Amino acid sequence: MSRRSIIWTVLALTLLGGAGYAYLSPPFAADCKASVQTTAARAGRLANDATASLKKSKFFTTCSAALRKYDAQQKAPPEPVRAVRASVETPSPDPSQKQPHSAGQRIANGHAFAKHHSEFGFRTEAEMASHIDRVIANPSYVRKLIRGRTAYWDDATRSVVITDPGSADFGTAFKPNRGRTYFDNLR
Amino acid sequence: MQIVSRNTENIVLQLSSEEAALLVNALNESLESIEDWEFDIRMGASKEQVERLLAAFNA
Repeated sequence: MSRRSIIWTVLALTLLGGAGYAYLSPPFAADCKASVQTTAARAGRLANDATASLKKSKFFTTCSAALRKYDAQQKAPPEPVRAVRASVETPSPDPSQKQPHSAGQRIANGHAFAKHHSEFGFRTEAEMASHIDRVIANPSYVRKLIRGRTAYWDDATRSVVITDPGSADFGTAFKPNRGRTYFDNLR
Repeated sequence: MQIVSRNTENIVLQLSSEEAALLVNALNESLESIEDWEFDIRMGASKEQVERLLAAFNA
């Protein structure tokens, strides 16, 4: 007889002995039942705590995210063939042939935004660009200045926009301290 | 710019339109950019004096 068989036989005889004694002695059976229930309850609580700890861990979060991503990839429909072909056949746009920016975009993307955005309360270059384009399109007053520059005055915001095609920033926009007097003295 | 004549009291200048515009812009920017407390110190003139000169150019 092998060692493993001896162990299993002893274990089986112990269990049979315990079961037989419990059958003959109801108090012993009640004690056994209470012990098993208590142990099961403890094991359940331990399992719940372990599950909660695992769910809180960074490892679990990372694994869950990776699994969700994998599932999404598996469920996602295949890319339309036409779209793939189009992307392959259409040449990428030539950087030198970009869509021309508006005067507002060119000015807002220069130094004017950093220096003057707080005067208006602009949070983004796009907000400033939109304002500049609006003033240029619908100014309260316009002055043609020397060297191809143009000044636009906006009564509503008491601000000036100066376009200068000869400068790298293409112009500027700000609220002059002296308001219209400053604008009227621009040459 | 050409200095036409000069004495201890006056200087007579001859300016092109663009040169005159440049001076007007310089005066205008000085009035805009320099704070009141520092204006006389940096310009050697009061704001009122500069404003009068600017008005004379625009007359």
